[in-house]
This record gives sequence, structure tokens and C-alpha cells, in this order.
Amino acid sequence: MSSSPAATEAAALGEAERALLRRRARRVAARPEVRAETTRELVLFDRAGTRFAVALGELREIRPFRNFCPLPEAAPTAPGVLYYRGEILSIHDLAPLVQTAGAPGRPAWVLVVEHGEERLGLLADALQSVEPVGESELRPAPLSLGGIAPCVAGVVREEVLLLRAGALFRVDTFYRGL
Amino acid sequence: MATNDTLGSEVLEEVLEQLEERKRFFRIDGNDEERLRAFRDVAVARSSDVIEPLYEHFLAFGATRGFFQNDRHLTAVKETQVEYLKRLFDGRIDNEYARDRLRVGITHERIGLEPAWYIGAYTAYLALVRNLVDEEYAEDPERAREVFQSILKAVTLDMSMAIDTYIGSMREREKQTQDRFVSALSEYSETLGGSTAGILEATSGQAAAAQEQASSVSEITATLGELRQTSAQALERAEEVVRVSERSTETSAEGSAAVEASIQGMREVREQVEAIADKILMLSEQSQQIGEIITSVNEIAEQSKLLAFNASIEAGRAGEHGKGFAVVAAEMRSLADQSKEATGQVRQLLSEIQTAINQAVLATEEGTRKVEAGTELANRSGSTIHELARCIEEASNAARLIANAARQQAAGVEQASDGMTQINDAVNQSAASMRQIQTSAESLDGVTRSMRELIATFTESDDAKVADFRLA
Repeated sequence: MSSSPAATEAAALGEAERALLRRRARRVAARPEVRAETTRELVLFDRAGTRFAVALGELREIRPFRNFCPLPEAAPTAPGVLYYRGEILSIHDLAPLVQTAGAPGRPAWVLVVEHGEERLGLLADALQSVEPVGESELRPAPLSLGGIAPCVAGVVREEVLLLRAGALFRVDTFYRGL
Repeated sequence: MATNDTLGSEVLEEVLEQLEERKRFFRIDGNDEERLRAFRDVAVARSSDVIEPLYEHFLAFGATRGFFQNDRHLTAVKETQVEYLKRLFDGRIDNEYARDRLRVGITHERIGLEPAWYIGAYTAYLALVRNLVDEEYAEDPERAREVFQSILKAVTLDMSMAIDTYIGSMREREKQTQDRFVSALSEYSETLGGSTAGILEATSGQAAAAQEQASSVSEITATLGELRQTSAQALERAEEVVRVSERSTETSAEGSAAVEASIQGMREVREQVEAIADKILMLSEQSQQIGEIITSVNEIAEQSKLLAFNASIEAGRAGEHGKGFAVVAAEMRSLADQSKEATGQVRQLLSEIQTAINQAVLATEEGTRKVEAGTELANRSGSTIHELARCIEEASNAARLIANAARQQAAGVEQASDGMTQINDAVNQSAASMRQIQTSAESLDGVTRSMRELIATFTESDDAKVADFRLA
């Protein structure tokens, strides 16, 4: 028996410790189950204290929020428009649907969401990351979401609201601000 | 006491009492008186033969001439003499006759005609009368002798009586004089006694006063001694104060220098603090610049991240062909994230640096405040020290003045002390003189007593005994 440092150490330990070490080694050595599931890249962003996620494929571009033109008598969820690549892009805000108290901060980013041929701008305070998220991670949305519920597909990473891009265009309360 | 008018009157009375006995002693009897009567006529007739030569004889001698004031006086005296002669030859030698004869003596004493001239005059008279008798009884010498004998007896009787009264009135005059003298002496001795008593009283009073003076002098001398001592002490103290104040002046000068040095030190500290402040300011500017740079870097990172996001989106749209690009985009995102993390850390560090700078600024400000407070304190100390020095200066001046005054006082006290010594000597001399005066007054008192005794001896006896009296 070669007197390696690890063997010397193992000899110094008691029986209980050795048992613990053996269990741990087994678990680490075990290969994880590879399950074939679909993962999607999600862009995580914050708005009005809530973290949202939208599929990378549903985004056209991300821009800093500039040159915004507010419309008079506009609804809070559709405050105005801005100029985007030669077209007028309507801007939409999730904040009124999730904010409980206080005014939302000034957004820094516009996420250009594309669904088919239609595009809209989604306001964001901060961009977090792009992460691969598997389907199994999707949890159902809580019942207490309120007005934003139709737009939300579910909850990932325990608190991130996954948005359905298509719903954003169809939910009138959001799209048209009615 | 016999007065001028009655001088000799005592003797006169005495002789009258003894007239018969005297006549018997003179062997004057009736026969003599009869013989005198027998001769009367002749005597009267021939009186001018006796009187004129007699008075010529008187006028020839200066001693007797002086008794006659003028011719009228002379004539009157002559007439009286004639009357006397007549009376002589009346042959009646009785008290009346004797009284007249006795009065003659009194008169002679009063006018100062001494017995020598009186007796001489009688001798001259007898010589002249002898002639008359011899002439008248030329045939009968025996008769002449008898008549002359009778005349002689009568005349000598007259003379004896006149001399008796002369002596008597002389004695009485002397006694009068003596009495006056004695009374005057008595008066003087009284006055003297009174004066002596007064002197004794004065001297004893003076002695008492001298005693008081002497005790006062010794009190004053003692007080002067104390004064000299206290002024010497005051002088000593004042000189001490001057010495101390000189030392204090040195100390305060050192104090001032120390204050100056501390102010200078604080000035240097302030300069250093200002230098530190400048450096801090520079540091702050630099950190600000760093902050700006970080901001730019952050912006770049943000933009990079944005680019990465959009790159991912484009890669997704590109499908299969975009997978490699998607990795690149992911890496870019990761890089941007790291950059942001790095800038975050730098910002954190900057924040800490800013905090430190703020603390340093606070510290320097604190330091500056402390320096200012210290400078003010030093200034106040400096002014306090100046004030102290001034007070010490004043005290020193005052002490010098006090020292001078004390010296002057000591000199004055010396002078006063000398004066006191002189006064003491004078008082002692005065006391000695007083004692002398007292002794003299006492001896004077003794003399007065002796005088009184002497006066007593005079007043007690009528005739002035030439006694062996001594001064007691």
C-alpha cells in the first residue's frame, strides 16, 4: 500500500466520517439522467420591480429607450410611439398591470417584440440575462396576477413571469389600453 | 510799738518814776534848789551874755550850725533856750521840770543832735555861767563854788535826763525800724515761704510731668523701634517682590516665546493641512475622472451587452447558421457582464475611496478647526501672558515705590529716634535740674524757717539782743 497523503488522511478519520465520504463520492460519480427536453433561450428583464422573461426568438431587437413620443390622452399601458427603422413603433408598458403603489421608474430599454408581421415595443428597466430554460421548469401562473394574467404563460425560476408574445398583441387591455 | 510821736515816751515815764531816786543819787536837795533860785535874777539879767556867745560857738562849728535852718529858727531856739535857763533857775526840779528836760532828749534824737555836741554845748554853757557866778560872788568864792556846784548838779541832771530820753528814743526808733524790718522780713519770709511752697509744688508737679514725659519718651522710643523693625520688614518684602517680579518677567518672556513658537507650529500644521487638502482635492478630482471613465466603460459594456443581446436575436433568426454566432454573442454578453462586474467593483472601490476621502476631508477640517482653536488659544494665552507681564511690571514698580518709601521711612524713623534720644537727654537733664531746684527750694524752706525763728527772737524781746543766732 502506497502511503499517499489521501490514504493517510483517510486512515486518520473515524468510521462515520468514512461512511459519509463514501456516500458523497457515489452521488458525485453518478451520471445525471439525460432527459431530452426542449430548452429555449429566454431574455430576462425587469420592469416596475417584476422580472419578466420573453423568448429570444420572439424578439427582433433590443434598444435603449430614446426618442420617445408620448401620445396625448394615451393609456398607461400604451403611452406613445417611437421611430424604429423607418416605422412607427407603438410602445407598451407592463408596469400599470403589476405596479401596486408608486409611479414606475423611467424605463431604459425597449424590447422590440415580433409576432408574425407585427411589432411592438416593450418597456424595460433593466436587462438581466439570456438563459436557457427548459419546459419542465415552467410552472403555472399564480391566480393573483390580475390584469396581466392573459399575457403570462407561466412562472420560471420561481418568480420570473414568462410572457406570451402573441398574447401581448391580442389582449386589448394591454395592446389598446382599453 | 512806739510811734514817731510817742518815741521816748516810755523812757520818759520810767525816769519820772525814778526822779526822786535820781535826785538823791545826784545829791540834789532843797539847798541846791534854793541856791538856784537865789541866782535866778542874775541869770535872767545876764542871759544874753551867755546865750549869744554860746550860739556864736554853735554857729562856728559846721556840725552844729546845720541844725539851724534860718535866722527865724535861730531866734526861736534862742528864746527857747532863754526860757530853759529861766526855768533852770526856778529851782523847782519836779516832774513838770523833768518832763521838759526829758522831751529835749527826744527832740535831739529826732533832729539827730548827738550827745557829744549836746554835752559839748553844756560844757560851753557851764563855762559861761561859771564866769557869771564868779563875777556875782566875787567876794564869796565859797558861795560861788556852792552855787556853781548846784548849777552843775542841775545841769548834769538835765543832761542825764536828756541823754536818757535820747538813748531811749534812739532805742525806740531802732526798735521801730527793727519792727518794720522784722515785719517786712516776716512778710518777705511769708512770701518766700509761699513762693517756696509754690516752687516745691511746681517742682513736684514738674517731676511728675518729667516722669510722664520720660515714660512717654520710652513708649515712643519703643514704638519707633517697632516702626523701624516693621519698615525694615516692609523694605525686605518689597525688595523680595522686586526680585520675584524680575524673575517673573523673565518667565513671562519665555512664556511669550513659547506662545509664539506654538503659534508658529500651528501655522506650519495649517500649511500642511492645506497641502493635504490640496492633495485630497486632487485625489477627489482624479477619482471623479476615474468615475467618469468607469461610466464610459460601463456605457460601453452596456452597449456591448445590448449588441450581444441583438446579436443573439439575429443569431436565433439565422437558425442553424447562426449557432456559432450565438456562442460568440453569448461570450460577448459574458464579457459585457464581467466588464460590468469589474466596473461595479471599481465603482465600489471608488465609493470606498470617496468615503476615505470624505473622512480625510473631515479629518483635515477637524484638524483645521483644531488648529484654529489652538491658534486662538495660543493667542489668548499670549495676551494673557502679556497682561500678566504688565501686571507684574506694575507690581514691580509699586514694589520699587514701596521700597523707596520704606527706605525713606526708615531714615525718618532714625531721625525720630535720634530726636527721641535728645528729648530723653533733655528730659533727664530737666529732671536733674528739677531735683536741684527741689534741693534749693528745700534749703530755701530751711532758710525761711530759720528766718521765722529769727523774726520770732526779734518780736519776743524788746531790746535787740546781740545774741549768737545761727541760721538753722
